Amino acid sequence: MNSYKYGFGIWLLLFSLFGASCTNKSVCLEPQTVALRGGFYYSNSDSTISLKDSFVVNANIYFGQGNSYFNNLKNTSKFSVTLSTISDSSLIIFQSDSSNFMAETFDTIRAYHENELNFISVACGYQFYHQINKITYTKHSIDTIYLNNTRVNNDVNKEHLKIVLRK
Amino acid sequence: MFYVNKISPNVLKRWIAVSVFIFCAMQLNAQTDTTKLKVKSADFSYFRIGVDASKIIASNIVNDYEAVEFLIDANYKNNLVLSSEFGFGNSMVDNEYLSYKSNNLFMRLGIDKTLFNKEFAGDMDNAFIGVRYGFGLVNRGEANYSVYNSIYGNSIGQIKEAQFFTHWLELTGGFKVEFKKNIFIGWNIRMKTFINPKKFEQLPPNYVAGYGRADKNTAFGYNFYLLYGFGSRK
Repeated sequence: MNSYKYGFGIWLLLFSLFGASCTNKSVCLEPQTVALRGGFYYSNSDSTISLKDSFVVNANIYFGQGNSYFNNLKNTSKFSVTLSTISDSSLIIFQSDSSNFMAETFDTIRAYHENELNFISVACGYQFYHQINKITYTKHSIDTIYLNNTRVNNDVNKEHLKIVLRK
Repeated sequence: MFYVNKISPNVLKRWIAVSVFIFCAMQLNAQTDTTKLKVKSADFSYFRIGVDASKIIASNIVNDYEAVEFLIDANYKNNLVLSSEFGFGNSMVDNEYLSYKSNNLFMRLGIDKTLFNKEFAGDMDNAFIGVRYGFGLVNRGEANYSVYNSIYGNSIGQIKEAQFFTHWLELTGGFKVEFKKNIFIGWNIRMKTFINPKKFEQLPPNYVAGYGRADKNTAFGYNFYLLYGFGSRK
């Protein structure tokens, strides 16, 4: 009698029932926004750029619709802000000293960019990537801004803006 | 139908490894059963038609897809069965970020090899392993998306409808047992992988009948068939 044949069949049936009972609910666990990343630098006398850590002691970065959001930057040389997903330019305001509201402490940076839809997953839907085409800025505290990387996406290791501050 | 040059190296490696495993299993089985009674079936003498009861039940339980699958198989040689499975289905994605519907037709063609020798003439109870080539036509309707952004404001938009041809390969193993004369039940498990996975990198259907979740390059599935057999089992 080939009883092991039926044993195999029953084992497979149980395995199938176990598999069928597993639910596979989709839950979105991925970030849905991407950020523009920048760093603060100073310029050496030989015109090369050097990174200095903790360069800004107490600065503010304003961004968002109506610049109603801000990041306070304390003893850091890095920052990140999100760009607009509903228009093709984003205004960022840099205040070099958060305790000083004189006009000379404020600089405006405008990034002109294209917004590109990027599919994440069925659970998360879409997000927007950005392709930066141009940067304009005022020069109160800022000396120069270099556009280091034009593509703003999920790559968190890329720095898009190198902001050289006046000494 | 096969576009071998488009199969990715990883998919090819995976299938070669599994094929080698199956070949070894077949050889082992052939060696261990040489002393047992072998009953030769006539070619294309016995046929079975059936429906997958599990998909009908699941379609009434879950609310994001419906599917119907049918099976026709025929004894080909002593321990080989040709199999054709076909069906249709529809599914929907409806969450806070995406909303769209899709539907598809599919067919799977393949061959099964039974693992055990017949105990008596006309014995149809057996386990099997097999391979399938599956293909389907998928219609995805217009999709509405929402991207939420509390800092700059939300965005909504639409992606126009699209049609796809998709195909995949399967390994399957299962069991069919005749519990009343000419009435069978059969169950199996399947491992499937897309040959053209790039088709569904954007807005994959929630469920492709015949394959499963289209956002997975490798999917696992199961069937519980109710079958009726007819023909000669000489």
